Amino acid sequence: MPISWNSTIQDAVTQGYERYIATLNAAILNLAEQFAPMIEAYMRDNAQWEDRTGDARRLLHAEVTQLVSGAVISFGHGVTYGVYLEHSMAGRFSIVLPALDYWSVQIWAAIKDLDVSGIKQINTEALPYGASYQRGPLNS
Amino acid sequence: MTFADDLKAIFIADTTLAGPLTGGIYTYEETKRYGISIENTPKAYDANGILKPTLLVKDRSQTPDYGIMTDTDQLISTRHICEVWLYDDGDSNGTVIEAARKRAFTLIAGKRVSANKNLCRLLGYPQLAGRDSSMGMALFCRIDVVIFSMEP
Repeated sequence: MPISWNSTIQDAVTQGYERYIATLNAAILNLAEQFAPMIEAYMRDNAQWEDRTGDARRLLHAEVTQLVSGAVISFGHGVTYGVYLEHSMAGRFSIVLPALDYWSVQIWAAIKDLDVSGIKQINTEALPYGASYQRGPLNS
Repeated sequence: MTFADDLKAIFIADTTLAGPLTGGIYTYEETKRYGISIENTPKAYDANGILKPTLLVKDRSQTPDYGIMTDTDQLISTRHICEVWLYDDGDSNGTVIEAARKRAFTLIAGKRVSANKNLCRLLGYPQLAGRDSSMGMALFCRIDVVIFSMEP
């Protein structure tokens, strides 16, 4: 039986590529939204200063911003004196960059491990903070 | 020896870098928990208590990057982050530590450091013209470097 095309090959490739990119961006956004709470919890648990009001620890935050292609996880202090916590005494009380050191590796490993062909359960043994993200059916 | 010790040894051996740093070159362990201070590093200050140009190297973190990981041999590749802090008196114009920062970069960026010849690279952007409120608003700048290593 002969094969018939509903569109040109060029259109088919273009549509397939656009669908793939949209799926990938959605997966990256989903990943970022799962990592942000873990980063926030990590910073609050591991900040080395002794609380007075608790504001500095409570206002540590991590949030996700969606981009046209991709996502940004931004995290940091919520108090104005956070910069001094990061820099004083050679960074004795710094938490933002240590969090970046740890989570950048985890996030990059997760990004590289993205499977755009279907469902795959992530091995969460190596991830603390209740990580249980699951890559859904990315092509649905 | 830690990587901070290795970097300190490189810096001390370079007279172009170490010469202008009249306050000395330290590792964070030498300064105890407070960093550069007149109590723990008195040689970093002159007779009037004014901070002299000083360098401090600090190990920040070591994180497995899973690039190489073998359970049978118990080997794992890691990214070891070190901070190189340069301090000067708050009223200085910062030219000494800025020149020292650039010199420190040339000494270690892209070079093999330590006995195991671990590769060292600049990480992120340098922190320029900062102020340390715990040191009377002393001027500081900082570069972060990543050293690729194997554990153990």
